[in-house]
Amino acid sequence: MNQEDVWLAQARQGDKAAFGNLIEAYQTPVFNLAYRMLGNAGEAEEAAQEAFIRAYTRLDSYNPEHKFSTWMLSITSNYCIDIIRKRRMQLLSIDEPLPPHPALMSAHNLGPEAQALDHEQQALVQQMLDSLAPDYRQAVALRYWYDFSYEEIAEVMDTTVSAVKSRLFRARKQLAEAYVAV
Amino acid sequence: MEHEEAYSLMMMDLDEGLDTRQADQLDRHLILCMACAREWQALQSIHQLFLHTPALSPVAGFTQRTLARLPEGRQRVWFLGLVYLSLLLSGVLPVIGLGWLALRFGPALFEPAIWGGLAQAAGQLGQLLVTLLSALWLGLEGLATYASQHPLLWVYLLLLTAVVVLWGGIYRQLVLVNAPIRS
Repeated sequence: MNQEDVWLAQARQGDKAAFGNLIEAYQTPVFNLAYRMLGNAGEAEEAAQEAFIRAYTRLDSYNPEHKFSTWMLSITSNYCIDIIRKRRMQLLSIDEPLPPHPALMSAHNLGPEAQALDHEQQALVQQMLDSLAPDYRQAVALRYWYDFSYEEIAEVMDTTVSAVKSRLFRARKQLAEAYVAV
Repeated sequence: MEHEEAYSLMMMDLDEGLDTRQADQLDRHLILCMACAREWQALQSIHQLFLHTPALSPVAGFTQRTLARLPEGRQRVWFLGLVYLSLLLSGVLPVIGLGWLALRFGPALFEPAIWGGLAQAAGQLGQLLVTLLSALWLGLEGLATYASQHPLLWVYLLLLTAVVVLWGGIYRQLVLVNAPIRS
């Protein structure tokens, strides 16, 4: 039994401190996915917190045969898709320029010049992601930041491997066209 | 080789890698097709850009903020348990009650004497209603005759109405208008 399994078992008994360790371990992947999906740090923080709360209240339904990270990211991406749908229903524009946020910081300690370049790169990547449909965005984020296999992406997205391949194919095609146009 | 086939090989190269034969096929196509070559260059640039863009972390204190929002697990389980139990009982108890009543009084309903008695009781109830309605009608008729013979009664009723309306207006002005407004 590894440390993660111990925390999970304790969290199932209602031990919040143990669940806190899991939050600490998975906060970056969960927040990063939410940010890549939503393109907004405030909403990403809210979505990441909500994903952890949902995970905590549904710990009994977690199947230990699967990786906890996959389950956690699946909850996160489903919640983000819900937010995007609601956002559409409220007719809010997602093309508005994103405000700078302190969350736009990588884990590395960078100098001012490198930090500016890093911010520029993050902004460019996010702009490109925002131009994609949510399910394409989801597939690209899971492929690049989590290094997931097609099978793992399919598990998180609750779809088939061929659908994942197709989404990645189309997403990359769109990104390449946008890149060539720029 | 078709463009679509070349594109599939490009995707494979990005995700899984190509064997020597497939790589040769793609290279031969890219030498001949400038459009695909440009697209391949764009795809590789994007691939590298995304690969080298670090993951973003939340602002410090995320764990504490999230823990503060976590519900009390055990309370929640008890609460949900009670909700489910009450829902179950609200559905099951009436069914059990109806079943018991059917078993207890069901056989008696099939006896002819019961139905005869019920019909007789319904007839008597109907007669009673008819008598009550006729009495009410007669009373109203008498009241109307009395009112038409005594016009002063109308004046008295009008005065009474005016006094009620007047006092109602005064009450509204004094009490309701000065009442504090709830935020």
